[in-house]
Amino acid sequence: MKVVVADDSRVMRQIVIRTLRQAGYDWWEIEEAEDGAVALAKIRESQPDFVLSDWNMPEMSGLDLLKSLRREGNETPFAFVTSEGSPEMRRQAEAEGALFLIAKPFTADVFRDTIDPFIS
Amino acid sequence: MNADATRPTPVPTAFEVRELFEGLLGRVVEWTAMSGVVDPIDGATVGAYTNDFGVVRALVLCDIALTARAGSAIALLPPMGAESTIKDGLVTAAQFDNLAEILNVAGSMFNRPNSPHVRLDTTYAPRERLPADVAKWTLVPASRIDGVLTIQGYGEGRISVVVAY
Repeated sequence: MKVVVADDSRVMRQIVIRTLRQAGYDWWEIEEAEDGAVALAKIRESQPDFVLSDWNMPEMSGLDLLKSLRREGNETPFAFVTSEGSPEMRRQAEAEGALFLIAKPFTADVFRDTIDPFIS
Repeated sequence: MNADATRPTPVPTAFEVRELFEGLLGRVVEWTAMSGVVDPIDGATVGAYTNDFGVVRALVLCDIALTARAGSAIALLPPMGAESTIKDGLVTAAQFDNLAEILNVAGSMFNRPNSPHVRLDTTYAPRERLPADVAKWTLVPASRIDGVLTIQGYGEGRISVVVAY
């Protein structure tokens, strides 16, 4: 399974990937992107099965990334891992078709409980 | 702005602070209460959290040892580099940036249902001049929690968390 993890913080990408592995997704093939624009290019090129994205990023926000994908008919499953998870952000994420939004800090258990239902 | 903000911004518990660091660093972190405070004059990374009107509502201060050790541990940088930073009193850009990431996520400790929304506004490097509306809260005696965090494999550093009142 190919997955793109987008976050402008290298260390936060590492933490997300480490937590995914701790949650049991060590079989995922993960590609990193340092902002929304880079993520968009990588998603177009590698056609991943799943995208996990930060919300606030330079060049293109996570929400704009999701909107761009949907506008061009790309229905790749998409979810957010963000520093904040306000009700308004959750509403916007859902309205644009995101599967879920996980707020930092997170644990492997939270990842597993949230992601597993969508994988099955 | 949270229209249902009926409670003040909470002072996080020692458990919440420890859990935050432990979760992000991916290693055991222990908390020990301390009677002193982290004083920016001695060198400290300061995270300033503001409400939706840009008013400072909370601060997190980490001394140079915690900046170096947590900033290294989160990226699995060698502990030796942190020790050299502490000896010289000069944090590296990577250690500072990494701690700023922790302080960004730390904003979650201040946000509760029914409390005003706050977020990390600015992270000040050790010995960087603090604006007056930040500096005035650093040493207040109340509405705060102060402790020592001991990071497995890296050692300890001091932290103060202050909520404006």
